[in-house]
Amino acid sequence: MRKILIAEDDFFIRDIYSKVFSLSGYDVQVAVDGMDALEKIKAQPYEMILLDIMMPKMTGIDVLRNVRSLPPPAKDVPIFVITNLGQQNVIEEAFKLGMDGYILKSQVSPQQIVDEINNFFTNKESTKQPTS
Amino acid sequence: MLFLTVLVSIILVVLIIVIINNSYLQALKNAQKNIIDSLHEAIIIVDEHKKVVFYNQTAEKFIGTQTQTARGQLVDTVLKVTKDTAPVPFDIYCQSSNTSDEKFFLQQEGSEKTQISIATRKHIYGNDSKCTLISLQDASKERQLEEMKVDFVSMAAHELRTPLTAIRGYTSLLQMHYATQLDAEAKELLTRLLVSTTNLTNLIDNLLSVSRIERNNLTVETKPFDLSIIAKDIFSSFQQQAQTKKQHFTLNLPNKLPLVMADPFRIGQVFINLISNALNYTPEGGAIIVSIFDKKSYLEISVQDTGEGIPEEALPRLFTKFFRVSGSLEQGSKGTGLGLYITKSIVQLHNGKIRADSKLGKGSTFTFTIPTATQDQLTQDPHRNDHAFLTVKNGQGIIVKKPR
Repeated sequence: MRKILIAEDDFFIRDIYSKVFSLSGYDVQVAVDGMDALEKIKAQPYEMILLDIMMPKMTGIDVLRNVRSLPPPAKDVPIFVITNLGQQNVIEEAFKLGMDGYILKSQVSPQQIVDEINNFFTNKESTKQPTS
Repeated sequence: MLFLTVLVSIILVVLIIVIINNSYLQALKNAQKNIIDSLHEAIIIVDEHKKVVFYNQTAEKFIGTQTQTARGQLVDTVLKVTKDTAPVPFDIYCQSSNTSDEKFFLQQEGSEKTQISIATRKHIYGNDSKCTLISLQDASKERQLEEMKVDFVSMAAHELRTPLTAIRGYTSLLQMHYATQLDAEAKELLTRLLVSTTNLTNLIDNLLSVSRIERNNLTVETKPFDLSIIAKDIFSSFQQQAQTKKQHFTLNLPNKLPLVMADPFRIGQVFINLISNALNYTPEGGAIIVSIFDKKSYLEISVQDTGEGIPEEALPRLFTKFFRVSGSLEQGSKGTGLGLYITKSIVQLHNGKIRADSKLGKGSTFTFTIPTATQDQLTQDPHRNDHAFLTVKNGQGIIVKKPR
């Protein structure tokens, strides 16, 4: 079971994502704000982080920046930014900080997000195989 | 004796008439002056040499120049009209002010600029028939109200989005994962619920885009990229929808396209809006053709359909806010009347042009242009190998992925 951390401050959105990822066979843990997310990432390894941008205590952008400056292997965890913000400058900044993907949550259904994450892992494995 | 009396009487009567008439004319002139001076509009009349010949009291207060100083001067030295920061001379606003909703500003002596609305008309002043009457109005209060309205819409839309995302999320969760526990009718109701919430989401997203456009906050981040990638991606995302309506849906691309200088996300929105309109307004068995033409300094993209067409009288208003072709509401097609307004704004922010050609019963063609990247832009852009790609699901979802 892949271990995934969902960092999202809105109770309902967090609940929906945890449910849909659990139902799709993920081991789901949640963080309720940016600070909580960073502490959990430091404390244990995850295979994927879903990160909201507008969160209390610490924004997703700051969490991303902090994680990418942690010692390996924690710094290399795949991070998908999930937000309602459509501003290009936020996307650009998150790209520069090394996010792995960006999803506008108002535009997609929870299942599409799961599909996207599943795709990510499938692609990762298929690119790994020829080299190993 | 009698003759003399009659003569005196006649002279007296004529004198009285002349006196009454004169004072009446004087009174009328005074009234007229009072009326013109008490207008909220600043009134300025210029002769054919563009020199000020008349100036009312409101103009004195509003512009800050006394009538005596203003009279005889060139209108452009008295009245400093700007748009953004560039000065707009009399000849320009004289031609555009009555038709456009352009935002003009008045630069006043020693104070900040004020937003104004200008109207001009041909005028006869005295014996001069080639004069122009300019009336100016302070539009700053209107602008304040407009801003408040935009702020309110933007705030309301933002606040609505979070609970709506939750409603949509739970609905699709029920549909995807708990469908086995529901009977056929409940499943049907759930589908309707999902369709309605999706429509509401699109409406709110459109309202947010409009409020960004109106605050000049809709940013386009241009970079050189290959338009054919986005065109193909969006084309394939709509193929299923076209198949269900048995429509012939084709994409015509030249073999090699120069890179465009544009915002991939926003241009994606333009493609999505135009293609989804074409599919929605084309009956079963119709045809939709998306073509891209290389015009060297720009690309021309056309979306052609064999749909119901747009009445000629509706064409000029097609790209305005909240405009919907009459009759389309009764026919049950969904839409907010914002899509084409947003589309036009995005194209214009890219310095492109958009137009619609249509014949009732035959179909419509929407054509827009996007400038290609110049050699300088290609060499300057640091991210040229670092394109953000778009993935479109069912013609609406947008996921931006970083290529690995």
